[in-house]
Amino acid sequence: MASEKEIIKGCIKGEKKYQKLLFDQYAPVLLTVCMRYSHDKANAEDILQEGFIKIFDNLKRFRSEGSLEGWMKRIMVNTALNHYRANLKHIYHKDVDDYAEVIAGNSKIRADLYAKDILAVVQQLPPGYRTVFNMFDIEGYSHKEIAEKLGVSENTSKTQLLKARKLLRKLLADYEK
Amino acid sequence: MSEYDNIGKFVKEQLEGHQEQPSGQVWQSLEKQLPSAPAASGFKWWYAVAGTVVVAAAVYFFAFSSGDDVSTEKVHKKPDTEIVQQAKPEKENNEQKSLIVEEKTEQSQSAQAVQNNSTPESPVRQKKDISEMKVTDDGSTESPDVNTIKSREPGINTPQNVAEGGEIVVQNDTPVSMNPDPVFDGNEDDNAGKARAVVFSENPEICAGEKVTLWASGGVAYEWSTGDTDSVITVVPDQSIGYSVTVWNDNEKKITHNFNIQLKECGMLYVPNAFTPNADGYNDIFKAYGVAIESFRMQIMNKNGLIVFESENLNEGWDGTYDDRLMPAGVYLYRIVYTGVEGDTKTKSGTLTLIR
Repeated sequence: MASEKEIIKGCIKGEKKYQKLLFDQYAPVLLTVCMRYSHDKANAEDILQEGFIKIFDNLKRFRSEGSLEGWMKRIMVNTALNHYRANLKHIYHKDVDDYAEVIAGNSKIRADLYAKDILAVVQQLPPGYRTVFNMFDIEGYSHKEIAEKLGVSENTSKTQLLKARKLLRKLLADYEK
Repeated sequence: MSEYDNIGKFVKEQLEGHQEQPSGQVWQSLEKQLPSAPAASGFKWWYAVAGTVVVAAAVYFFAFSSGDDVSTEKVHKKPDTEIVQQAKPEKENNEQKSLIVEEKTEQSQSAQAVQNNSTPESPVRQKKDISEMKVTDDGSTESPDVNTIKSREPGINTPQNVAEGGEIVVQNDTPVSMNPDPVFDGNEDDNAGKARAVVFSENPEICAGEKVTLWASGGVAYEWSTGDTDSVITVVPDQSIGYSVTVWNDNEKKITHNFNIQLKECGMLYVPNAFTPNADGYNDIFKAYGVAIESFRMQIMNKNGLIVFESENLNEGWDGTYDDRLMPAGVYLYRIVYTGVEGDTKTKSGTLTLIR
């Protein structure tokens, strides 16, 4: 079993064996990240592939003091954001409705929902909601950072997050029915 | 229940460590993009896979609204870049990357070769580029779907927001049509690799005071003519001005793109948020103030929705009476639909306070 260091070294040298090892070891976790940002698996796999190209390309720049997995996840997130931005032309949302109304506690979510189901529900979110939700709640970006990265106002980011959460609750509640 | 209350945390925890198996195709097509290692791997070389040198490009606007109204929304649009990227195997013995960005759209101009040179560009060089770009800035091949762009209609502003005043509340996100231009075409013969950028290049026109967000992507470092080094910057030009951005890929190759932003004359409207109709000569009339307004219509209503004043004349204002009676002090709503000389019809609404 090759160590992480050996794998990285091998990948930098361009040895296919190590590239495959790296891919096999991390692709499943990274694909989950990509799927959170996509509406379907095919799209997520496109991002995964593109992200891996960047990973192999930039691996020599990876400094081993950080976590390799964390580094690769960031690359995937950035790749996903590039995709999102590139597709903005086809996406626009009109949400003038009030977002203050937050449904609370009128339905419960079973604790045994599987990750797969949750992923499927996240994928159902409108792209803008999904992106902001992922960035804020999962990746931990601030609204300011989101606003900068997506080129929207902070208010839009906040609004979309609230709406995304609200819709997620509803979708998750519906899902188990 | 608890999951329900903190949905973000719940989703994060549930997905932590979750694995999804990619289909075999992913590796297969990935593998094709990775050149195979040389049998005798005595020397070191890098994969030529692409760190996108796409200076991608997006300009997009949102309008400026200093009060940053809570109730308004944006319709975002970003031009589609139509970029297909292909990695290309390394040629030979060096650490250069080759990089191709294929453009689906046909080039309107033949590629202009620019020396592949990693020393910083001189100002002279940049100026020259600007003029070159101007020449090639035509023949847009892809125009955005204008029909999908809508002006936003703002909600009611809070008095505080209105108090800041003077902002154009209506936001329209003007897309910029894309125009693929080869800005960089390195010389293949000296193993320099090849890079092209597909960029927006139509010189966009905006209203004075509007923010413009400029995006470059795909590189590892950026430098704008403003001195900023982020990939995304926001500018509020106060005059028609040229910008440039230089994008480096991780082999320290770079491309520079220049473009201009033109200011156009636009209608502007300022609406105060309070007035005191007590005949003292100060603020006795509530009216909007505008420049470059073509058409105008203002309605003022009380909280019950009764229209107490209506006018299509910018110079006419409300004196605080309705049906010859003095209306009580308090908060009223206004709604103004106006068209600026640039032809955009916008709506502005908010509250005003009648003080007695």
